[in-house]
Amino acid sequence: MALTPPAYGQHDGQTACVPDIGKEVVTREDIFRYGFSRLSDVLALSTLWHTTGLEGFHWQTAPSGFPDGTARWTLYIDDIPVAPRVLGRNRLNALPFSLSDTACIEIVSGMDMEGPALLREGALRIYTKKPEFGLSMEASVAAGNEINDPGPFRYTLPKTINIDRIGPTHTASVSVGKKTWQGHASGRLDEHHVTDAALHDRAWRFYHIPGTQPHIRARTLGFTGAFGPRPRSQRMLAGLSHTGDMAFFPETGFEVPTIHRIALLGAAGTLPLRRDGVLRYGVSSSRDAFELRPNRKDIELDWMQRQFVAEADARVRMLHIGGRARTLRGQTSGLLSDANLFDLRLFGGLNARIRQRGRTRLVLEWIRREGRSGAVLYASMEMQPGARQRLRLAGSYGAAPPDTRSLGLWQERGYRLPYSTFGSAGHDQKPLPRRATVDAGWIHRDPIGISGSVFLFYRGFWNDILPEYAIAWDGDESSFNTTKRLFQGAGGHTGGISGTMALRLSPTLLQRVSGTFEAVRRDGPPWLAYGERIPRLRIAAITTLAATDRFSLSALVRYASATSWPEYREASIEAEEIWPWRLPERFLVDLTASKRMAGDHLNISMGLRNLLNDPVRFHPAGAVFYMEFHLSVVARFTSTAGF
Amino acid sequence: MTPDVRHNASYRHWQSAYGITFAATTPFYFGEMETGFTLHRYSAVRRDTPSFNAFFTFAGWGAGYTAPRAFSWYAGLRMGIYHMIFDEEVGDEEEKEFSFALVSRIDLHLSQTVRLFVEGHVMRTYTLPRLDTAGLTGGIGLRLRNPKWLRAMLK
Repeated sequence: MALTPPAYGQHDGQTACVPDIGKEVVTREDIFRYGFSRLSDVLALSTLWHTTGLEGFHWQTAPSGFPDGTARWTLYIDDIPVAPRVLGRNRLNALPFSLSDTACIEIVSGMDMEGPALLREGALRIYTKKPEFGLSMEASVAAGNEINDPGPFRYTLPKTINIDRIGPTHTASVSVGKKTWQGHASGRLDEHHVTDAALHDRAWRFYHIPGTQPHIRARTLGFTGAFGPRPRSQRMLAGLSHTGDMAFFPETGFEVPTIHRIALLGAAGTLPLRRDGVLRYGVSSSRDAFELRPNRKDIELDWMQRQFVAEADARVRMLHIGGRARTLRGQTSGLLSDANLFDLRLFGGLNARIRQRGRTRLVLEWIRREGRSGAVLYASMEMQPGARQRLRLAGSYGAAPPDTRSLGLWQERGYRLPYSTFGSAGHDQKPLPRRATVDAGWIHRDPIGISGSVFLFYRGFWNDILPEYAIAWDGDESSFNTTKRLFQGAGGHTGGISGTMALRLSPTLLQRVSGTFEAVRRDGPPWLAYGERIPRLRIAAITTLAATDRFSLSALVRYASATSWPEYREASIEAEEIWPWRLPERFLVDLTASKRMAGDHLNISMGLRNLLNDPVRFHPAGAVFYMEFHLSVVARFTSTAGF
Repeated sequence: MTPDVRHNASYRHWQSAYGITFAATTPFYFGEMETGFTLHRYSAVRRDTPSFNAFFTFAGWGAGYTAPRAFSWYAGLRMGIYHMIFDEEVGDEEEKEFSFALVSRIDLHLSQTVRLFVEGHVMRTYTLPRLDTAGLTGGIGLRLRNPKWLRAMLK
């Protein structure tokens, strides 16, 4: 992670891809240096966000202060709003987009009032790389191997399970860069084999593609373009993806083989207004369809949804106004009581400077969802006591109708997820959920000396609507039996502190340490279950030895404290601890060597992840991960540097 | 030429034979980088297990010390994939696993170009159970000047 601005950013020339209070940044250099190949891989560098996953391909993630399932974080690609989840599942690695297309990624945990939308539940902002002038091509392959294959002993031991390779992930792209326009087309073929011993029987329950083991295979095709009199002032995104998936839902209790198709189209940009004003906009349309993937009982998710999001804001002198509209239409073969969701948010506020070194903002947002209205008040103050220092205090409070992008609310409207039991307490007449957020922080940036930041946060929740699970284990069917109901009235408080420090001990040795501690005050059983899933303490330490800018040796050390998943307690007892409901603390050491060769045409990364070979689980129903060997090779050719 | 001299649990089922090793070495950041492969044949001792060829493709790094004139000593590590190709079960006849080796080598320099060497290694292949081997290798090394294209590529 960098504490210096990268060469390129689009969101705002001043602030994009620059680490800030409550904002971590992963650069393209980091991606090569650590041999990352999937979008979700970059979350390993974040301590502000906590991440859980089952099979190692799909990861559920949320920012600090938001127990999983309570944050509706937002995803932007080149400032184009893109839905990160469908049916409550993270679809980051299924999107028609490749990590190799990335210039940098911002992992935002704190409040973001830059607009066009006001964000207080976290955001991932991905910025694509600016194509070089002329024609350029890039291809990469990344593959790995998790240890503990039976090897020749598969012929000598009674029962051993092959742990297959990781990946491979192939990407290829072609870019054209001109003075006033750029285009970039890329494709990705990504495989992940679900062969972990713990998941083996469950994954095989319905999987039936002769001659293959249970696997996830994503094929994507994407296009990004930019044009305009000012560099990249108008941007667009289009893509298609086809993922042969193994979709685990807590509600079904096993992996449902399904084909997930995504079609995505979007645009974003800025337009000048009179009186030095600026209008920004972002718009996207997406279609997600879950289709039948061959399986033993022909079960299918039977779900399709279309989503349209538009957001815009304008700034004219002190005035800042904007809004966001979203429509979501669900479709299934059964009857939905209402197939449409509509969400409208409008805001207006004032920005004011405090002398030369500070500014303050006050914004009121009106929210309309499903025929009910709410409002949220945002306020922030920033001070710049020195050229390299910044202080920020921000807060929000409001009551708003619940965000309806969840599986539970579609189930409430009649969607039938296979093999799941659903009960709802109903919530139409209850008070609106209320939330409060407070951020406070300080950052000091020095490209050659010591940089550091401190971020304090508080999140308060009242009358929240959360799914509540009762999970049992059915050993005969190798799956969980889950009963779920929506519970209104869940509430609690989270708060914590996060800090980062980066320093150079010598010109070739860079060290960075970051850590987050968060505490949860438990108000009632549902909140208790959600709060216990978060590792309270998360630490990441990175040491990079870069003898030259062409070779580096990096060690990433990560610690996460123990977690508990009370909803799995019964299943854990029934399955005799095959699925432990308490997960011990994790201590992971990754070592990566990265070398640029042949001019800049070739980049090779080779690494060992979980070097200590400590068996690691991120979810009680998930795989156990051991030491992994990773290799990635990126080849790049440009017409200016020569083919 | 590489005979394996020690086995663990695998010894009850397979008998190793001589093998061959090829490695190319070049100066690389404070030491030397090497890449190469090793091929071994493992013959089944019992009828219920198949024989197999093991092909270790590796990259490594190490550092050495050259004594005046005649001798040099090198120590390093190798990482790579141990690819086992079994004689039976057509269609599902291979396994791959990560391997890690520690290497030590003594060279006797006969001339600027030619040298004789003897090398010992201990290697762990991370199967379950682990496949631990140790071996001795003897052979001839040639020292050649890298062609320009290779130097440009490694830069």
